[in-house]
Amino acid sequence: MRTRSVVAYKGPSGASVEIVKQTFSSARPKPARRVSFLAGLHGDELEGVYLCFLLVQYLRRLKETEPGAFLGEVNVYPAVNPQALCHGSRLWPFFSVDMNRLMGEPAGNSLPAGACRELLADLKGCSDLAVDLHSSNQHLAELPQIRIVKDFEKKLLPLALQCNVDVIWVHPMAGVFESTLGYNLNRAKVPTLVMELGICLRIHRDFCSQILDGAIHLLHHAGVLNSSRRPRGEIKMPLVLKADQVGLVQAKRAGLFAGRVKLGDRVGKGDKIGDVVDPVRGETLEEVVSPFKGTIFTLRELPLIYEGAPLVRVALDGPDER
Amino acid sequence: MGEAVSLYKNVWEKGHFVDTLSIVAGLHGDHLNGLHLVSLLSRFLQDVEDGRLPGFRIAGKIQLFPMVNIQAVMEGERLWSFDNLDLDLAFPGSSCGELADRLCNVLYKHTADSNYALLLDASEKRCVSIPHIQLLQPDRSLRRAARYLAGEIPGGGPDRFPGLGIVRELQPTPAFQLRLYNQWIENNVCALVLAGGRSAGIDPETNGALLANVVNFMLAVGVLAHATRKAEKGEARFYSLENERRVSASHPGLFLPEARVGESLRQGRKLGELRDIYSGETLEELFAPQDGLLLTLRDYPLVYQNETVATLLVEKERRWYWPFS
Repeated sequence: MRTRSVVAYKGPSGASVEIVKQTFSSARPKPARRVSFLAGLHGDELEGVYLCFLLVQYLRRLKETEPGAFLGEVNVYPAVNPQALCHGSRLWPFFSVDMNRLMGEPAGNSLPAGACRELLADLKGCSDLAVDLHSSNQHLAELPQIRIVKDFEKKLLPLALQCNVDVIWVHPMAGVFESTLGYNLNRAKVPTLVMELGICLRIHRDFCSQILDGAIHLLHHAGVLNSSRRPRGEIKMPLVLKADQVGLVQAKRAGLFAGRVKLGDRVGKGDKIGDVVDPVRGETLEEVVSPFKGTIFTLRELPLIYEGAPLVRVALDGPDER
Repeated sequence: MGEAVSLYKNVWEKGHFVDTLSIVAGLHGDHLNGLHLVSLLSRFLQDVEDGRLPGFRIAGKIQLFPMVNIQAVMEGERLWSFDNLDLDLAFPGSSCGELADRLCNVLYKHTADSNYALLLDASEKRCVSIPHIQLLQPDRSLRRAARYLAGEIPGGGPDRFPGLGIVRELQPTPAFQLRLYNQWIENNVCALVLAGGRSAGIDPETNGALLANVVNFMLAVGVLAHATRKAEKGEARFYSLENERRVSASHPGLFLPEARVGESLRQGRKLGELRDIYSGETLEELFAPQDGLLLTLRDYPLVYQNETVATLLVEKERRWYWPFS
């Protein structure tokens, strides 16, 4: 394993801050393919950081025991927003900026924009395929899923099917994506899967274990690894959802949401999802029921809600379930 | 917990088929200069409506939004903290989304049909800059509008600010399309950004002077009228990105400025120096790379390596627009 710093700068105290890349090189003179995994663009999304730990641990052992298994190259960027990670915050502290809204900006604009530019350039230079690992924000928890902008479906869907996720959500393009890392890499013809799992500031070990299996499977599928000790377990066949196959239930009132369902639960039309309550007056403001039939793949975790807050997303069983 | 989240606007209107000017402040909770300027405008316009300013009358529709990001203002923060969201990267929003989306969408719907719009913005975070106008890909009508907003700030002058005659052309970035200003431009609103000052602070003297510029602008676009006084074109200097020179710190440390924003600098003029926090040693002296006007200067002393500490406007392709009528 080779450790390299791809972005480095010093803070006011002189302490160095670095974005580190771990590279597992190919046993061949020319790698069959190069795959990059990165995590922590939002510093509070720790599932991906933990997953990188699991992946590095697995690859180190494989390198020691079966170095010939590396037909290609694997790069792991475990913490690409190191200061936010130390702070446990979504945004890059001090500058209060979202790194995943700065991609594609000219370098001269600011230090974070320059760092994003260097990171993006490094990824472009060393990746034939990339996986950008995210958790949800503090409000929602997500079943392991891959989100694909419709424009890139043809190239990404076959790869996403190899990742052992529960859901693949193909959604339309929106302006907000243009400044994201995933979109910019895909535009640069580096196929990039954007994965969401769990919730920020927590680690869901089962989800991480599931996605580790998916990552190893993807590496074998991509021809980067060819290990005799490859896990033989079946990978999941995910639900592949188009935009009209996702049902969103939102709060009609502000208050506290007390949920009654779990991620992955099946719901039918009219099934109770939870209550919105007014703790000050001791009243139930809304009994939330599902207008859809399907599988819950997003669930409200932060009980504090305003009107319009998303409570659950349901993978619809069919187009008639809306 | 039942507290209402409200978006307030103050409206002065004369007749139904008139032009509309929208002025928006407080998209970020630390942009307090804008809040203050809107409060001055509100008082002025109410005095006009109440007949306390002879000669002036409301001739169109003027709507002021003093404080859009109420949550952040109340918390003393820059961002909408519930979602860690930069509200100026959430437009046009959605009528059926979360609260921040709805708020942005309401503001957009209330302003997108305006004939004219002004967004009151602060300087970059942790910097101070001279008051100036910002435009995106300006056409003739936008340039013309900028000249009516431009003009000397009484009490400004060379020792203070050089007047509101600086017009910067904004650079579109991938995230720019999510900004309110960009949504206005795409909706063919004649829209300008009035930026400057420092975040998390108020400069009452400059705001008092800027009030006159905005009143002149209102006279020019016809939403305000005066019995005898006509709007006057100011002198505007247009600067594109090519005219900007950023000066960055090669070392981290404490930045101690020597120059002042608004100062016309000669090449080699010292901008400030960087000191090591622990030893007090001077790590680096920073100088103006060429002649120019100091637009922005670092206001907060702690500096990361490679951060911009100053922005100069240089006269590479200077174009003058004189106030021909």
